[in-house]
Amino acid sequence: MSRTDEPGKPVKALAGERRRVLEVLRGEALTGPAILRRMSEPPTAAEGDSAGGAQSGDSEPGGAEPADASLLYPALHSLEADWRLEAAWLPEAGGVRRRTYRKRRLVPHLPGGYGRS
Amino acid sequence: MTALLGYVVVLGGLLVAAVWLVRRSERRLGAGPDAHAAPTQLGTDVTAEITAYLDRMTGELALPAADVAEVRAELADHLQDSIASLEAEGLDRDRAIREALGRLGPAADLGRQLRMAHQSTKRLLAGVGGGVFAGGGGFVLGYLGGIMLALFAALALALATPPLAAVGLRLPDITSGDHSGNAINSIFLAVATAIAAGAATRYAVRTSASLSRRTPRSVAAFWAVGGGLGFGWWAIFGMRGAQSWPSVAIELCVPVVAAVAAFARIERSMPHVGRWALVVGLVAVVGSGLVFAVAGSVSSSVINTIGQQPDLHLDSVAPAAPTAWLPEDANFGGGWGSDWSSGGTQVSLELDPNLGAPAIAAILANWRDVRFEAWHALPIVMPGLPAGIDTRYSSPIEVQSASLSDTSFEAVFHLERFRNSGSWWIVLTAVGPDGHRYRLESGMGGDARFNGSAWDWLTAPQ
Repeated sequence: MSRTDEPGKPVKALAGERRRVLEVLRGEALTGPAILRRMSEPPTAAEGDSAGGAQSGDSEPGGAEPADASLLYPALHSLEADWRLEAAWLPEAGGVRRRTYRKRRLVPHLPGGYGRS
Repeated sequence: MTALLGYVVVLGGLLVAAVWLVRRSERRLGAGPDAHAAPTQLGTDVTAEITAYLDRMTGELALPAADVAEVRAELADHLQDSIASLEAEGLDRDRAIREALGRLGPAADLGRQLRMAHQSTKRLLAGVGGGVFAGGGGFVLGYLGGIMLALFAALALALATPPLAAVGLRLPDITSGDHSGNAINSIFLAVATAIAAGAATRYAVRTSASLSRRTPRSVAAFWAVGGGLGFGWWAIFGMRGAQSWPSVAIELCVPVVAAVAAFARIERSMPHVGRWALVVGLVAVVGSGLVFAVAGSVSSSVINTIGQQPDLHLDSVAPAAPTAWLPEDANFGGGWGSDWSSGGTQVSLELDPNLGAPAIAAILANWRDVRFEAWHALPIVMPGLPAGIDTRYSSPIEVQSASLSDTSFEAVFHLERFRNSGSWWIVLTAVGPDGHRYRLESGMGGDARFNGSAWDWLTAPQ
């Protein structure tokens, strides 16, 4: 069941998903599946306090409910389009390259990390 | 020299930046070689069901090729990861595939959302700005390419003319009656402008499509209208200089060329522009600048006089004024020059400055309707050859009232606004006490070239 199936909710749901993605990507570089898993994990006590304190209204703190895969990639790609995230195809241990996201910084990353967004 | 150096540095820098932007955009549109691009091969365990899902999703994307490849690869990777997790939880493979696909939602919905995510307002603005910038670079490159193409075409025609003539084929002489080189120059510039407009529009379409994450065809209409209006206005109304019928015909086609260039085979990549092409282009810019500078210094000296000639046929304009009405001490001294404010030819005939105001008033008391008349003249080729008024014409090209300023008569002629003014001779005339028009002064001669836009040419008097 996708949350986009709920009538009148897609825009608000996508906005919430974007917020959750940014909360999960705290300076780390993660792939889409890793972000999804992180969003579905129950928050630690410290994360719950800090996230809860920063949220308002209908916001959904990370891990408060199961992550929605149907919204994850639209959220990631829209954040990238808004220059909030940067993405690159980076090799993992087995040599397989996977698309990895991290928050964009004012100072660019060193060469060899994120060459293309 | 410093100005020229600055001009080369600024233009060269902009050109290099524009070419860099275009090449970067071409990689995205064509999924070209890029160390950070998506894997082009999906995993070996991607089933037909997953491929069909990705195909349906891709059908809704309408993004540049590199983005489509990235999205497909990323989602295939996600699905493989998700299926493996579900199988680890105890689901069989078929059920795991269906569950993984179900979690991503309907393929068409996902494709539409991803398209909207990619085509953000920021990227649209970047696409417009980048398109304008790349269009500027494309115009310069196209202009240089157009000049080279026109030179090659002229060379080919020159080489082909003798053999064709030998077999009885004569090419039409587009330069007949053109003594100033206007036809050739204007055709060169018109061809270069048309090619530049086409190249600029194509660069703008493809760069803006890449930056705004749209397909070239989806943004082509915008640039076709913009390019057609912008370059069309420039070619027809804004670009001033030498003109001829062939060049005006080419310039009228510029808006069509720009609009067609935005659509015709727009999915094809732009030609690769290497650094050697840039070097050649910059050399051509500097070289053509120097050539134009030299040509400008030459063309500014086209107005001249021929000294005393045995018969300038001035009586065909008007008989000389009787000395009784024009005392001998009322000598005229000629002078002329460019009128910088209007681009015309300024004519000035000065009365003897030693005459006081009362003497000048006494002379002018005999005359009314004092005016300068510009007549067609025989070409001034060299001293000793026939010159003066061309008696085939029965009326002047242009007439201007002579206004008295202090001790001189002055007027401004715009012979450059006539299509066929060519050689001219300007005479000062006035109506005497007997009601007939007389020639007060023999005047001066020179050559004029048309100088204006294509529209000026179309609306110009003969």
